[in-house]
Amino acid sequence: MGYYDIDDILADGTRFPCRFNYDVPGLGYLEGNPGRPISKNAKLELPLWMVHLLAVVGAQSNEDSRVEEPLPFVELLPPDLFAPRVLNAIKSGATSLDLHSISPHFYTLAEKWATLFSDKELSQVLKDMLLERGQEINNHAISVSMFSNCNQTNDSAVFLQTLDEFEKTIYRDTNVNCKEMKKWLVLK
Amino acid sequence: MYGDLANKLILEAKRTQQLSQAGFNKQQLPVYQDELVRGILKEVGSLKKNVDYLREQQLTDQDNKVAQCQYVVAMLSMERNKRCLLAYQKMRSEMLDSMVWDNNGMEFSSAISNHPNLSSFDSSVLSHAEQEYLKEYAQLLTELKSGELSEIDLTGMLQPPSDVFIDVRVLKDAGQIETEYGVFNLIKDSQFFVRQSDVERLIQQGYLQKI
Amino acid sequence: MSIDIDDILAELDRDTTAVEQNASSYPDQSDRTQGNDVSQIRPADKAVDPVAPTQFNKIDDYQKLITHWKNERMSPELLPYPHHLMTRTLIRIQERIELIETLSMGYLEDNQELTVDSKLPLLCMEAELERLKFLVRSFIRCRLSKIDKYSIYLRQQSELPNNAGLSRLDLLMSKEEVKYHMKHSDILLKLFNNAVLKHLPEELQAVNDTEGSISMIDEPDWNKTVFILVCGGVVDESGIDSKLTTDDDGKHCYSVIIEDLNEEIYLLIGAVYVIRYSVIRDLMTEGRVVLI
Repeated sequence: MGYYDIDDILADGTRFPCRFNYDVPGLGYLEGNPGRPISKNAKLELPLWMVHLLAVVGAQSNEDSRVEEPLPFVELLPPDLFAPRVLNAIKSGATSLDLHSISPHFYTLAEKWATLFSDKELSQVLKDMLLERGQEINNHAISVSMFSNCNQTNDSAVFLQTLDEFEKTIYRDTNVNCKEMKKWLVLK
Repeated sequence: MYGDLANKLILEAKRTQQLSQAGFNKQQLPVYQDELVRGILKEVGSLKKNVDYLREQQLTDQDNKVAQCQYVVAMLSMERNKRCLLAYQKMRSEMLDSMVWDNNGMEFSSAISNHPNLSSFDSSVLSHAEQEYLKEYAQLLTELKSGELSEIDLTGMLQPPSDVFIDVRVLKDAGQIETEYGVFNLIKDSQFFVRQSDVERLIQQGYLQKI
Repeated sequence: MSIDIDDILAELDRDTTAVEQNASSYPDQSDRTQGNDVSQIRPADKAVDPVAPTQFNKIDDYQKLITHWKNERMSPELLPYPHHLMTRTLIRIQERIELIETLSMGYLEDNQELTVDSKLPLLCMEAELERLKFLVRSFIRCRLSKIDKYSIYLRQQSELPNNAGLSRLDLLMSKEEVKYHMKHSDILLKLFNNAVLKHLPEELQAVNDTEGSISMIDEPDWNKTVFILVCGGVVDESGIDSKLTTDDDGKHCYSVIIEDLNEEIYLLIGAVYVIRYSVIRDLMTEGRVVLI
């Protein structure tokens, strides 16, 4: 994930629900009400690039327990993205899940989230999901290159639409590699 | 909301990336989003005013959490805009780089239009700074190629060579070429048996097709 | 590499004297090369190389070049430029091109029928030359793309206090590459400045800012997974491989530690592994493992 990486930037733009811990005038535009203040305990959806730091800053002063502990500016609420029902859906049938509709940047966001909150369960679910879906992606990628003259079957096309951005790159790489491998085998 | 324009720019960048990956018209860069860029820069300007105001009021000390919050939000928005702008520019510059490499460092002046792939290239899709960058990079590449590495032809084939002599079919009329074996008349749909290294350039440019 | 071809050529060229004459007239080679006769086209030991006084076998050099090429392609970072090896290789390429030219002119002068068969040795030489050129080309292009990708990082590394200015860049890259790196980063920075940065407030104008939420400097991915072949065979002056140890079964191996897992593992000689780059980086620079 680089500074200039377009997919990373897009992933950072995803909105997450959060709650403000303070009254903050002048930030009303975040709610869509410019000019009005944001009240404490207001719930908003803010993009990750903003929330990331706001949820951490202020927490630094927490180290010093002698001083009154200031809260971070916002508190990140558990997003729908990683809600129990999503995790259950993943666990029960990863390959049939429409990941793209949940989020086109699911893997990237899950990685960031898990790192931020040291969420072991999420990372385990993610690993298992990648394993299962990876095999399915592999199957589709190979079969497409094998029958490159035929049109893609409906199943393949439908499956492809459910992939998120990271999986799409995996698919593309696999496909290209298979084709090259076959070309090379033929030459031999 | 701050950052919305930047998001639009990044979506445009993503689209460009996808188009080039799909192989559609690799030589074409979409037009430079001058308006969007200017809008984003204006946004940064007004954010900067907020930041300056907050600093001026000396409200950013520890006790005033509110002002701190506003300050942080403004700074983050500015950084976000900067990141989006730079990523957009970088992506475009990388595409320009690969265009220069693919075309053997040829200058992209509008005068050169014999090249089949370049005939649709319009340098007006680039911003002024990009046009300058393109010229300079093409020049850099020419210098690099003519250094001590001139013999190995840096812009040549990146596939391992297979046969010394190959069959090629002519895709477009290209006049005559001279090799040490004589002169070939490149007329459309004719076939020749020639040395690969001689015609490498022409295959790259799309005049010939290896059979 | 081409011992057979040289023999064939030597026979063929008994009639044409063009080669013999040209051999002695290679302008810049005459001081430095010995034995320029056709049957043994060996570049002499380079006076610039202070380390090894031995003749450099071109087969060994070729193997070394291939290893460097493979390592460079698979490694996430820019590896040091093999200066001497490349100089020797480029000289060989130049010599071979001139030789081929002379030979083919020899053919034309004799008005021989230009059939493919009669020029077979020449074709072989050409094919081999193309392969070598391809190797060098691919190697340099790979390096150039890494130089572009990590240009700020490389610049930063070269400016670290324990390095004397650009000396590290000189070691890491060839002269041409350094020139390319400097010029390219300049024009790219100019582009960024004109398009974006100079319109931004002062504190945002840096291109190497590491204090924001994400560092602007792209570092190589040290945790990239690579395939390695453990070849071993690197010995010091006393003829002993100091890192070689034996595992529980008595087989020769190298021992490495995976920090994240706090595990020590044994890499058997001759085996292939899939492993993180950071774990085997030292072994690779020493030549004990190669990336494949």
